[in-house]
Amino acid sequence: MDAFLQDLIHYSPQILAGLKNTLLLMAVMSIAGLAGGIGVFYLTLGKNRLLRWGTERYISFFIGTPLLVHLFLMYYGLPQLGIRLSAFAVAVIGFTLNVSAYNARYLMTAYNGLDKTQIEAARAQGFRFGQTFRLIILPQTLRLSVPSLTNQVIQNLKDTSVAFLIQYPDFFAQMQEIASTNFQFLKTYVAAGLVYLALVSVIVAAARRLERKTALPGLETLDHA
Amino acid sequence: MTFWNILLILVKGAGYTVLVTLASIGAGLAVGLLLAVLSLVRWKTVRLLLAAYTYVFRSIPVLVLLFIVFFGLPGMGIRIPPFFSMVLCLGLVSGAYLAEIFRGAMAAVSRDEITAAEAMGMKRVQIFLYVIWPQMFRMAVPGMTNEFTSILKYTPFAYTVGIPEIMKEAMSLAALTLRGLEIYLAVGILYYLIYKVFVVSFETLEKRFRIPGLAGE
Repeated sequence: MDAFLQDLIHYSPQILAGLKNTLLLMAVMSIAGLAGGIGVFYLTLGKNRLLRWGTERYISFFIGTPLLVHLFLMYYGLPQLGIRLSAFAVAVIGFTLNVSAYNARYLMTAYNGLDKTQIEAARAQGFRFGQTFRLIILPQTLRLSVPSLTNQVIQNLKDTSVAFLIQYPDFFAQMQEIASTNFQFLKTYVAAGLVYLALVSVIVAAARRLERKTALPGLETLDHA
Repeated sequence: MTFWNILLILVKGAGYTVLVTLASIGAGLAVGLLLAVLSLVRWKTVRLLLAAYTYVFRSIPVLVLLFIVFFGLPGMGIRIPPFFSMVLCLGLVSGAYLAEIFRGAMAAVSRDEITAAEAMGMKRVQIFLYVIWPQMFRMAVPGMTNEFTSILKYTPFAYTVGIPEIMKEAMSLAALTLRGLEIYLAVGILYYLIYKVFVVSFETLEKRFRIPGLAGE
């Protein structure tokens, strides 16, 4: 049998453990990022000007700076203050802050396209702001942003590969380790690329299903790919 | 080492970051335009190849691609220097996204204008150069700006192949001075400044060439 394949089989427990870590990180940050995104979006609609300004700056900063900087800042910078976080904790916090900013931006764009008379109508009916948000604004903005939000999940999967730079033992970290023992860099990294390709395909298929299921006739979705 | 010295070294690194970003934007534009033009070809094989290209380069993480190119290709006897490896990867990936943006912008050009141009006796190349392109570029500005800033945010990966940009300088400085917190905070602010400069210059460019009444975004 091909020596490279034998290597892959030999290291398969390690590879599978890495895959598990990758998928775990992706799932956690996708869910936390969606919740965070909705929270930030809620704040941007608030009445308090200072709070609105703050959330705008937050979104702008996280969209304007590389993810790796946030991770390094927490992983290599915070210990200086005596705060030592595990690579997983740093990855989850860093990614969530980042993903929330993007998701909030998508929801804001969808909100701008909404017919605002609905909100006025809701207020006239005596809905409180929280109710308007939960019952009128959110269902529509979430639906409209399904393509952007699912694109973000794909992006999340790809971004997990960055976590190996802060020593998180994800899938790519394992492949990297295997490559440095068998010196088959090309084959190993191409194999890694193919695995990401397969995983993305699964997410894309799921995203299309979700899109079809949540589609409302007459309500066009927005895509910010 | 005073913080002032540290900042100076980081700013020098920022020069490399900007250089990598601009070179990658150039490469991405070249690839994106080529793919967008090819997408007008009605040949089935070409379409299939384009779809495969977009699929592959939108699915593989930039970091993995960079490792394939920089650490993998030498195994086949192809050695690409660090700077060009980085630019090649970002060019290939952003080209896939830019092609989509251009395609969308081209589709937004009114059919009637093309029919009118045909009626005036313009050749296909002329229609493309004088009717489609000028509008496509203008309508693609928001998408392009987005993609260019993504390129900027991918450039820290360049440190993994040894390009002395901000991140690499920051890492050696942090190891040397043990002041990681201030250093990475400064790095974040530097990136944000570069980002702002990019965004504002694109906005200015867009305003400079804006045509009133043309549906942008």
